[in-house]
Amino acid sequence: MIKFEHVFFQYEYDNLPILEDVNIEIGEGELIALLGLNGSGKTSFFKMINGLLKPSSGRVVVDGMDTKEENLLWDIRKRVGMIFQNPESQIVGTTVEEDVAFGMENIGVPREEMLKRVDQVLDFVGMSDLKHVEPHRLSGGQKQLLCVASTLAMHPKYMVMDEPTSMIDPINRENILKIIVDLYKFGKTVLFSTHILDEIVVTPRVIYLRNGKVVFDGSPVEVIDSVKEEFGTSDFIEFQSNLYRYGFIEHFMDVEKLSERLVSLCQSSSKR
Amino acid sequence: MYDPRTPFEKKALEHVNMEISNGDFVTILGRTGSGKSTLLQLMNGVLRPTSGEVFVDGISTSEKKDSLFEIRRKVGLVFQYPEHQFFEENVFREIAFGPKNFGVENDELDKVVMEAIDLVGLSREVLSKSPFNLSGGEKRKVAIASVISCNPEYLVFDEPTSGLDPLSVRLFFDMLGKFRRSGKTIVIVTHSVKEALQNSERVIVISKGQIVFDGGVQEFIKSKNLMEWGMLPPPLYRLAWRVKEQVEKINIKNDKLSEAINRLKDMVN
Ligand SMILES: Nc1ncnc2c1ncn2[C@@H]1O[C@H](COP(=O)(O)OP(=O)(O)OP(=O)(O)O)[C@@H](O)[C@H]1O
Ligand SMILES: Nc1ncnc2c1ncn2[C@@H]1O[C@H](COP(=O)(O)OP(=O)(O)O)[C@@H](O)[C@H]1O
Ligand SMILES: [Mg+2]
Ligand SMILES: [Mg+2]
Repeated sequence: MIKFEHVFFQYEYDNLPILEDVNIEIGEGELIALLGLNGSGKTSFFKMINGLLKPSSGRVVVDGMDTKEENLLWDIRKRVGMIFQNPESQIVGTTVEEDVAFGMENIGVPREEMLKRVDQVLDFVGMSDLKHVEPHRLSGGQKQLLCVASTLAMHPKYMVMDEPTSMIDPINRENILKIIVDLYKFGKTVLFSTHILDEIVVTPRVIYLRNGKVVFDGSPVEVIDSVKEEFGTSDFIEFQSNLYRYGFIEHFMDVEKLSERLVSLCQSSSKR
Repeated sequence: MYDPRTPFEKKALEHVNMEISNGDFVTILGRTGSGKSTLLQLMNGVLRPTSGEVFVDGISTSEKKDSLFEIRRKVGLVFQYPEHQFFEENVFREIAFGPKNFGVENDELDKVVMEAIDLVGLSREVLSKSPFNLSGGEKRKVAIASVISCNPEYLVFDEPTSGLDPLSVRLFFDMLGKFRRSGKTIVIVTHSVKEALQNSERVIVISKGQIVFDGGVQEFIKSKNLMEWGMLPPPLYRLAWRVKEQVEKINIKNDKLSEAINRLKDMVN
């Protein structure tokens, strides 16, 4: 479990409060989307989870371990896999393969297992062909996929992904979303942020940050209904909000599930 | 071609022939790694073609240094990674750098910078901050502001809306609308098919370094090759396609439901 207890945060030499009295509990096996305007504090929030940033006051606790305790950081970071907003900052290997192996070496994965996982995760993100390529030659979206692969290879318990789909083409974006949902189904705890509203249909829980404060925390339907004025919405989400209002659906769904639902609703309506 | 005649030689684009006319609004789409950023960097001479030529108002980007200055002034390019274009110690200086270089000074310079940050929706508080100490979306806005502050004739944006919140995306396209009406030419790379449909008339699709589509948005969205190019129609479209055929013959008795279904049908007709 990840717990934020009265967390306040500001960057050094800066008096602006970035996070203000954040209290949140994230249970094992949850899938959560973090939303908020640019600058609302999402990345800062994520960086607190693995102790990259420490609360100015309050506590962040991961599986009972306080991120302020330096000697626990190693263990915390092994559990929390992070994918940053700018993938470049995260790539260290001189080839794709090495980059995937690097994190595993660090946490002491045996060589044979390591080689196996390299192939597994590269296959998972569809980059097997690029195994021997130097990362600086990859395009933006390919770099992002590489980061997903490298992080997955370490088998973290929590996956924290800061805008994992922001620079990826629609098909690869669907892949990443599918990966997110699969991880969730396998029992991993996944948190991700996104500005692409259509993506929140896959999650049961949305947290919304406004100026560093958690102002909404609930199902996507509820949260979107509360924030669409200040944040915006999309035609797909609006369409589903209407269906929800009239009782045709209980929660947002992806295209496939929603089309099945609509077709069966139509069929049963004509029979009556 | 990157690193030609070395073992790392990498052909990023080939056989590219295209023309962008003044006043056009062109959206470039394509799978990650297809060559979009390379194409954009060729447009203002950051990259030069290994073979072939790129002309801006008749001047080749492969010509001497002094014409390159002229070309860069005409063609403003916002990079995919904002950090790649930052080098100043604070946001004000970052945005002021371009116009200052082109001779704007004092009060006029202040005015230009303020206009630019208002256009992209940045708060004044960020002006004194280092551009590197900003949130992802704020960095993107600074990058956009520092190019529009130079007032180039041709505006070229590499994934400008990636990482922008929905509100800022709307603001961005409002801004492009204004530029458009003032006669500027706009080229933008995006992964959002919806943005392409809503904002431009012409779409160019790059696949494996080649232009595989160049035409109108309606023709584009109806193309059978979308998936092959790495594209997907927006979700509501996909829903509409899926539902339409299956409910065609059903007589829906529920008003609200039939209203929703009709909305979908309208979308794909
Ligand atoms: N290194 C830093 N030093 C000082 N201030 C920072 C730093 N990084 C971010 N900030 C500020 O902290 C606030 C929150 O930033 P954060 O990156 O957490 O936002 P975000 O919600 O992730 O935004 P985005 O959607 O744009 O990615 C912003 O006002 C930003 O300017
Ligand atoms: N600096 C570089 N050196 C070598 N190859 C590169 C470089 N930048 C990009 N590439 C390669 O060129 C191709 C096109 O990349 P890019 O133009 O960035 O694609 P896109 O912007 O469409 O994602 C990719 O295969 C990428 O790996
Ligand atoms: Mg962020
Ligand atoms: Mg690119």
